[in-house]
Amino acid sequence: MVANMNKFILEARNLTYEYNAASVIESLGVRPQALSGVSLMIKRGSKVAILGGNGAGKSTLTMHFNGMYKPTSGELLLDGKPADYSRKARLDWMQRVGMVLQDPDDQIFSATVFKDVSFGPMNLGLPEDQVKIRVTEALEEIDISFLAEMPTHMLSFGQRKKVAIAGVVAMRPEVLVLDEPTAGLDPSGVDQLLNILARLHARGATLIITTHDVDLAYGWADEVIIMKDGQVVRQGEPNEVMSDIPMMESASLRQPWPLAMGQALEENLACLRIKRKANEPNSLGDFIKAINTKSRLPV
Amino acid sequence: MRLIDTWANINNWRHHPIEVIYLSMGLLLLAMILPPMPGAALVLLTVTLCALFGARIPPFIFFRVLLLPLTFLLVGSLALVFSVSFDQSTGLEIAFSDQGMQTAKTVILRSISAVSALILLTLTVPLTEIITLMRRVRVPNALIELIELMYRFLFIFDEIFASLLKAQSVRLGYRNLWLSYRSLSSAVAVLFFRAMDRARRLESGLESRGYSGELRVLNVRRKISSRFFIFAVLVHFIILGITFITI
Ligand SMILES: Nc1ncnc2c1ncn2[C@@H]1O[C@H](COP(=O)(O)OP(=O)(O)OP(=O)(O)O)[C@@H](O)[C@H]1O
Ligand SMILES: [Mg+2]
Repeated sequence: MVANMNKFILEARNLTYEYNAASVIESLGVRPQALSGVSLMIKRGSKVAILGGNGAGKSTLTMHFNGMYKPTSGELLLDGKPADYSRKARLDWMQRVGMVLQDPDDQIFSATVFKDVSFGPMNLGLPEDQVKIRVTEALEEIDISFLAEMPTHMLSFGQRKKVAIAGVVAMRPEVLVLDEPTAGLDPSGVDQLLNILARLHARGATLIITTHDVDLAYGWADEVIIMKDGQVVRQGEPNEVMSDIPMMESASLRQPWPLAMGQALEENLACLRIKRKANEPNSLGDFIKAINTKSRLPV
Repeated sequence: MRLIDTWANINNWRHHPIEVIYLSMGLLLLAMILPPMPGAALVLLTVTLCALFGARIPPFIFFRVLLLPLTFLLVGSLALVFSVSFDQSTGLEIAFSDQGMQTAKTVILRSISAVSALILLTLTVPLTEIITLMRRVRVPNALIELIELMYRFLFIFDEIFASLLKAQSVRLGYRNLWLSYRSLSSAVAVLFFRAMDRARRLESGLESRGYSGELRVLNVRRKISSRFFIFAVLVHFIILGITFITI
């Protein structure tokens, strides 16, 4: 498997998805297709942020990444091979691509944290001592070892979110997909989450998150994907994609503050008639990006 | 409900589920078979001491939980104490019965001490441990999973319902009795749909973690403390002993 590793771990070709009630939805005057012709490529080991307004189709798209949803038309490639939706193949797929849902209560069921995190590894059919090691490591990795014996219903929202992540991390997926991981977390919770993600990334995991937070995506991602009305509008390097103001606005997104500040600076500099050197077209953007990276917690 | 569960998970005896189950089941048996005076009274005393000083349940919590069945018992045994008869000549007659009083005392004492033994169990052993034990004594898997899911869903229901009630009351849905009826009935109706939706989403969420029809988790194995066990056996025999001496 290592020998013919594909550069792209996931690839979507012209994905279309309609929910069951599509005709009803259409009669209500709402766009019937949750996804209409999505194509994208995810590089192995990259950090990807999917951005878009409410109802753009981010959650629907992420559900395709681990085979939970089968596209109405179009094709999904996992590690260069067309996806197989047979029962057995999907179980294998779900282990390789771990999915953390938007709402942790959709994923947590067991009475205590330790037991809940053990659920995934048990399903992989590992022997009990292996399961125990994995659970302990996952809890350590997510910094919630101290919660191991807690009943799950006694946890705060942020803690439940971490438990949901630990439950997926314990399965050691190659790709980790997180649907709005920062929603509902306080600033320090967001920083903790970013630390956790950095650790997982250092281990070689490919990370995909969906978010509305343009600043977070700008500072964190190697690559951003902008969605609107069930389609991918742009995919590319954050600095380049996100400085396209009309495109961002049409996708219900603000500009990240570093870019906005850069713009403001530039206008004011022009106002003061201080000219930048012509041979440094990107220096301001790079400078601002550096500021932004520095403004986050060290990882 | 939340209160009981919380204490079950943080009390001093939480690491000794098997011993506590043995202790309280034994006490329950003693309360039922021994003559209520002094047997049941001794059980009640023991349970109280164990809960307050052994498991370190705050007295406030313990007595509050105990009070609930006690009120039911007291109300119920009124029927034993008073006998109501209806006669053509004398009309309705309510009489205090001495013998009934005696029966009521016995019944109350016996039941409250039996119930207290169960309360000791529920307050000191987390349900998760009881489930683990059930699994070990080979209770059918389907039944255990049902209990586990119900346990989790009880709290989810509770949360959904609380948030629905809050959503309604901040918009004055409970301003008067008529509105309260309406709000409550629509909350119950919505609870049903929300719960169905929850169940559906939970299933697909679990599927993404490799769920294929069987909820298997790793259970922590507990070491049984022999000192605790001897303590439990001693307690049982002391109660037995005192009862036989005083009869
Ligand atoms: N269970 C469902 N049944 C029918 N239609 C749905 C369902 N879930 C989502 N949709 C529709 O699919 C479209 C895309 O929804 P999706 O949840 O993917 O958006 P999103 O980008 O994740 O939005 P948000 O930022 O609000 O989470 C929406 O128009 C929505 O109405
Ligand atoms: Mg979403």
